[in-house]
Amino acid sequence: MNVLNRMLVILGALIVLIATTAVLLVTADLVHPQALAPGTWLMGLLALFQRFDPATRSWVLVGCALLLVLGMVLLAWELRPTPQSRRHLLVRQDPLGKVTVAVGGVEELVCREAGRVAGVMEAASRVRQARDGLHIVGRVSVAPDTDVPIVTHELQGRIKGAVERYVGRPVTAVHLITQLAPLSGQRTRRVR
Amino acid sequence: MSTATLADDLALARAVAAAVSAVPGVAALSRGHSTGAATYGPGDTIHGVMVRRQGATLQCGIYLIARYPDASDLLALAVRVRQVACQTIDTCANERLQRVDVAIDGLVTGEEMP
Amino acid sequence: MAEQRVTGGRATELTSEQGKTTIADAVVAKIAGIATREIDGVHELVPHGVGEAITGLAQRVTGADTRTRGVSVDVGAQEAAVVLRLVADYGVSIPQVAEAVRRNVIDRIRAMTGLLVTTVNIDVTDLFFPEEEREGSPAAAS
Repeated sequence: MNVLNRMLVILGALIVLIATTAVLLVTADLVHPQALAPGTWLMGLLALFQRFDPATRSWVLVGCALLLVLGMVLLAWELRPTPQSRRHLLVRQDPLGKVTVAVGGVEELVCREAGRVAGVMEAASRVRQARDGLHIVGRVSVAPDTDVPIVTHELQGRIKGAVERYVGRPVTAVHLITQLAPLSGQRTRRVR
Repeated sequence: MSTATLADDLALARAVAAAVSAVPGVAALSRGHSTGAATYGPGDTIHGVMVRRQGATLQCGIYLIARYPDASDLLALAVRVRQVACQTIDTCANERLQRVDVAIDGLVTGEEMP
Repeated sequence: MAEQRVTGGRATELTSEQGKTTIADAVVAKIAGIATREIDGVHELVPHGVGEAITGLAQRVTGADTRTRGVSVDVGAQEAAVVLRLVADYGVSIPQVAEAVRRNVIDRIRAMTGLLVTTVNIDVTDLFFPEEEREGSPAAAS
């Protein structure tokens, strides 16, 4: 069903693109309808676009341009490669099927757990599946009066525990980078 | 050769529709999900029940929406619907239904409307 | 009473001398959705992608059943495969919730339709965090 839906959307986007391009070319007088569609009814339909006055033509051209962009965006969106292994972690695989969890959700969990530790102001994380288990890299921004070694130790314990319980897979590494300065970049979370 | 008229078939369909709608677990007869899921006749259309005659045999197709959790076993519901349809035809027209096809097109839960 | 289960394309069919019983795929999907939501720890089911979101929109317009979002079923002659996409509650163990969901989906579909579900794939796309006060957190006291 998912595949069918995607195919329908892709097909729809292609039809929109082709039709819009044809109308655009005819309206802009770049191509004659006869060259595009030798059959009678389609040629007649396209010929209609040639008869517009200049004002209407401009509107039609703008509309076509917008539709073209929309069609291309939709097509690109549906055709984009989704590297499953990077975006999902495998929780379990057995004869009954597969259970996966989105990496984004796990990274959000890490940030939330980090936020529960006193002294942590911001947190960001990256989680990846390594050969020996899950590896987590966390960056946290802490308050100036924080005892960094204690906070780091607590963070590692909390993060490892929460992720192992959530994902059901062993966490073999939690690397933490602690700084006083606020974190930069989009993937941060302000927890306080 | 059957001398039944279109109006007769419509009346049969109406009777079956009423009886089936009253079966516990049936939320409603379905409209328009399957092609031909209706009996057409003068002045009326019975959706969800299709009465058809093939020569001397009388057949019926019933298309319904079940309600959960009233219908906890859809196959048993289909059997019950079949029984009710046969009983209705037997009572109303003294005819025997040779075949009843039951299609469960949808399922609604407690608070939904079909 | 001879019974024969055949593929009806988009529905499961059981044929006997008395007639044919057909159960639409949408019904199987609905049952899977109901069974999934019954499990504690499942917050909600979510659409599979742009395609399903658009289909869902179209379904809303035409008034057709929209409650099978997040559920995709592939029904064969004797068996069915189910794919679920869901958001889990924060604090749960995904393996345990997933196992409970699988069991419930398989049992419920078999009980209601007689169909055997051989595969249940589950994708947990997100976590739901309820807006709550942090319990016992030292920060709350400072």
